[in-house]
Amino acid sequence: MIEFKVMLSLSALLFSLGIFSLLSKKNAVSILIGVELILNACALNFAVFSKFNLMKAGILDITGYIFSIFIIVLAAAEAVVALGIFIAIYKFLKNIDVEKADLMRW
Amino acid sequence: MKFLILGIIFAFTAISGFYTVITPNLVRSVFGLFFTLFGVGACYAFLGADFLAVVQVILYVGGIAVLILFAVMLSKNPYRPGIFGSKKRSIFSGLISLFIFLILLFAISQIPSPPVASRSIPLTGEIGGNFLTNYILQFEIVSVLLLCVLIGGAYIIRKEIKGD
Repeated sequence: MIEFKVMLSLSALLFSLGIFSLLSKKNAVSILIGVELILNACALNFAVFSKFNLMKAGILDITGYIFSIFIIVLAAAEAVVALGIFIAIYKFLKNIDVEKADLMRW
Repeated sequence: MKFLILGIIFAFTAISGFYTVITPNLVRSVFGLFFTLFGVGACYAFLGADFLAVVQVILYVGGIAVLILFAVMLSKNPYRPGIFGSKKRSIFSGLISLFIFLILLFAISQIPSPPVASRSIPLTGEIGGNFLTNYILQFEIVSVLLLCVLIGGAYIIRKEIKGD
């Protein structure tokens, strides 16, 4: 079952790419893209573990698929709210550099 | 044949993921995200999760990627400051993410491989039945959350009217 490990490695790769994007960027939209990559990796992981049942071999457990769908829906909701906040910040500060948005910090 | 398809999907997703993260142009990064999401949808199709692949393509590729693209293109020059931070921070975050990737690879190599994959069945009816029986509470909570997101999004982005 080579595809089990290959899919998990792909998920790990997407996760660490998302972490890199989250840590190194200063544009807020790029950070949002990193978060989307991380959520995608997580949903892919759930789907893989639903397909390859480690407890009872060969029996389809649908829980992982259902939680993947929940993750996709929550990612959509999160993207809408995050982009709304970015547009509000952009109207107020005239840029979306996260290093400049420090009005609530003392 | 199966391994060839698996390799193509892996290479496609990995390369477009790298391009998404590395390119300094924001619009190109969004298009890279577009192809990465397509690759993950292909992974779902490869795993036999038909409904999940359709949801991924409709919601992520058709929804979120287009939404980000709209937000980028409608705002006037949002990528003026450039999207990367200082060089030192890029190097440090590259090291940290490489470290996390190696840890995850080690953990994956420790998992015992399952002997067989479960058989693929049409999932749509199965998932719909589970949503309305076993997972009804989560389903309702998510629907209320989506309503909150609609109202909150409209409230945040609304236009201020002076003297009201």
